[in-house]
Amino acid sequence: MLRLILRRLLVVAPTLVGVTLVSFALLVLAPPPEGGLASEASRALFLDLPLFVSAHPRDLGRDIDDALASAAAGRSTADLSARGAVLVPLLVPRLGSLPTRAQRWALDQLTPNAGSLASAVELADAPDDLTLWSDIYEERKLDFRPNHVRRLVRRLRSGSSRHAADQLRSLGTFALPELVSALDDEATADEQQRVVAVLADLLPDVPPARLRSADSRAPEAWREWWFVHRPDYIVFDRFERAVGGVTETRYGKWLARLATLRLGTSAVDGEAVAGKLASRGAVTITLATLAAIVAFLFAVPLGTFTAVRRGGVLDRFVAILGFVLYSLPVVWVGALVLRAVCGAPGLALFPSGGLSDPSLAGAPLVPRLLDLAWHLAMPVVCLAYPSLIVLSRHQRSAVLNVVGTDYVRTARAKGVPEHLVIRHHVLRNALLPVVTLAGLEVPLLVGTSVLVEELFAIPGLGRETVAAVAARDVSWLVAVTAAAAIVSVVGLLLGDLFVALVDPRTRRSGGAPR
Amino acid sequence: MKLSERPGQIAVIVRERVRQRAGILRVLWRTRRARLGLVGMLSLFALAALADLLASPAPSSVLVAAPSVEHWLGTDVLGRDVLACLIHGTRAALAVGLVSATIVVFVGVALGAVSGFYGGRLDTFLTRMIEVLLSVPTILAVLALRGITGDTRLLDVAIVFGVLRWTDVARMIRAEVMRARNSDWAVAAHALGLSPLQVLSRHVLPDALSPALVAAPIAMGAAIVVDASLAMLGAAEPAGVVTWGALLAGARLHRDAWWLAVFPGFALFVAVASFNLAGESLRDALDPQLRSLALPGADKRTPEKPAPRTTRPPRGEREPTGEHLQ
Repeated sequence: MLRLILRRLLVVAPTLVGVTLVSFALLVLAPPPEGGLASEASRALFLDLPLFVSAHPRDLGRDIDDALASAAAGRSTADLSARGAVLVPLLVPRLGSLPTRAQRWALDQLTPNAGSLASAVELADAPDDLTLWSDIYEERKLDFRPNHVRRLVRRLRSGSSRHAADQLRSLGTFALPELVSALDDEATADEQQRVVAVLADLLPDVPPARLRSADSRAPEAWREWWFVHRPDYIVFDRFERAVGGVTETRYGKWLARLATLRLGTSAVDGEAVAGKLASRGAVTITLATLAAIVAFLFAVPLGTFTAVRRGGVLDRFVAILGFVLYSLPVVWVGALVLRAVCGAPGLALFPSGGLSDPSLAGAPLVPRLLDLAWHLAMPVVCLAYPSLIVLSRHQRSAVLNVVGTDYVRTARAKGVPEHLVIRHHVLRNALLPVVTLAGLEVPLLVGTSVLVEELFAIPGLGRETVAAVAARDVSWLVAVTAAAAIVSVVGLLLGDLFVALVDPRTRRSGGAPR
Repeated sequence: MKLSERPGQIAVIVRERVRQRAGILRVLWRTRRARLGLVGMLSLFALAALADLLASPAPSSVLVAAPSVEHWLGTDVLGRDVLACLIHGTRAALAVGLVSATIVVFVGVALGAVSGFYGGRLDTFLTRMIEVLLSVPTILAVLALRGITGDTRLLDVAIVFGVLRWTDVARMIRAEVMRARNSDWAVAAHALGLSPLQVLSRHVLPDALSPALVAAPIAMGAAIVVDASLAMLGAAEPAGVVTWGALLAGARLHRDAWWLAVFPGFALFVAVASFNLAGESLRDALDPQLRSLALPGADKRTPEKPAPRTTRPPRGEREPTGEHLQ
């Protein structure tokens, strides 16, 4: 049994990889934003990285090596001075061993960042004096150590030291990794604000205005910025360099985004996509789960009954009604329901949209739950009926199959009353195929709920997605597709595991139901 | 019984196969439901072909007018005659259905056959791939594609539907091919020296094709429904194309214009119902074991109980258990 479950779980892994690939394909289809590969929008999509394999993962160390090599060869060389004081510990110790032209370039990069070293005044007089540079660096060398920065950041967070902020500012971009990692979720709003203030001083020219805002979104914006720009400011250690061929790619970054739930910000309202997915997804999952339960609870008795009374009036009526409803789009039936029972021009039996009545905002739990149920009733009916029809048809056929078996004939022959034959011998055995199929209904329910939510103005994933299509919100659209697919995979998995759990044959043989 | 134990019987087997295949259409035409479905399908194609002769959906000055002598079914938000739009809308609907059904059938048959015939790692890979595609909701995928590329291309719904929904066909074909691979005639063909590809294409696949025949009309209906649903929610079609879904979208804007909701809805129903009827009765004709799934009207022709399932579950491998019981 355990082996069976483990094997099934193992099989889910490649499926999940496939799902990430499908959503990645959508991401790749997005047209490149304006402003070329170096623009902020392009970098956020990692358009500057290769798709799957990176032969030479790029970091600050490689940028410097490339630049030094091309400077030594006399070619035009990139300007890295905007990377800030992190250049100091990387360039100054190497100054003496560089060829002249590379030395020239290195000094050009260092001079704008000299302010972080204490004796900037002396340097301003003689910026080309190599011994002066190395003397000053020797003095400050102990400050350019991650442990020191970590201590400073800890003091900054606790607010116990006035000087910590100044000292961090003097270390410039060298302090970035520790500062950003201090913006974790455990930090209080005050602590985060102190860190954000220092970060904003360190990088005054970085574009998104959100980074400098005083509101609660700034820390998330900095984390997102760091996720994109990290290789500009650090030198990979040996491990990162080794795995960089895979991780420093567009697909690697997409996986990292999925795994860390850092899915970017929505273009509709600037909120974090992951948070929105969670809040809207809860609504959709509630709706879909309710619909699945309703469908299953009605389909099993209906299918059984129509099978037992095969060819009877009810059987034919249900079959024809089911066929008619199944041949109509859910939105059309939903629109009809909306007109008929949700306010003008029909009866006002149910609300015409939304999830709750605003006048009940402060009410106790029970009336609010009743209100929710009242609002959800018609959407759930619209969402459930296609699945109900499909499942009841399968239940009917499963019951018919079981009714024809020898053990049912035996049960009847030995005098078991008909209703007990149906309940004990037929229903139990006919239930399994339908339970398995119920797992398959999950993606269908998620897809259909998009339509139903839009129709009944329910603030779920679907409504948000329709808005995102209009706003061309790539982050949201890709994330929601991935999320829906992952939910569906989990649904399929749960269906299979449930069957394995209740079916004694799979328990005995240990083989997956195939 | 092995073939080698009954020499000279290949001819008998071949005759039996030919008889089986020829019977399908005759069986099909005998049921009322099948005739209804086929007639519905044929008249849709006829309407689409003759649309220009019958009516013109040119805009007039009367917007959203109720049905009258002049405009039998009223006019829509652009002042077009609804009846003319319905007639011309058959073209878009059939195009969506045909494109998606073509993709579904071709991809499904090709991959399902290869996977079932060769098995092994290829089969495992395709099974995983099918599982992935199964879990991507079609409607979300279409919306995402439209939002991301910023384009509403002609037939994009049909293409996405086809690319995502060939999985059912592939699974059924795979199961059929696995069964037919070991049949007497496949073994005979192999014994006569045919290459595996020849055995597959000439002797295994023709016998395993019936699920694809069934799936094609049903996929057409389903794709038309998805397309119309999205159009109705305002994910508009490209300009200049007359669709039923666009009329329905108009009905959402003008809540009093019942004719914009009822008539296109009815047209959709007729189309989808025809395809479903055709598909389901085709399934009954091809596969008596599945007859219990169908409408009870179909049972009258064959009053005997359906045989207990012995070979395969109706929806491929995923409906796993019924056969172990017997």
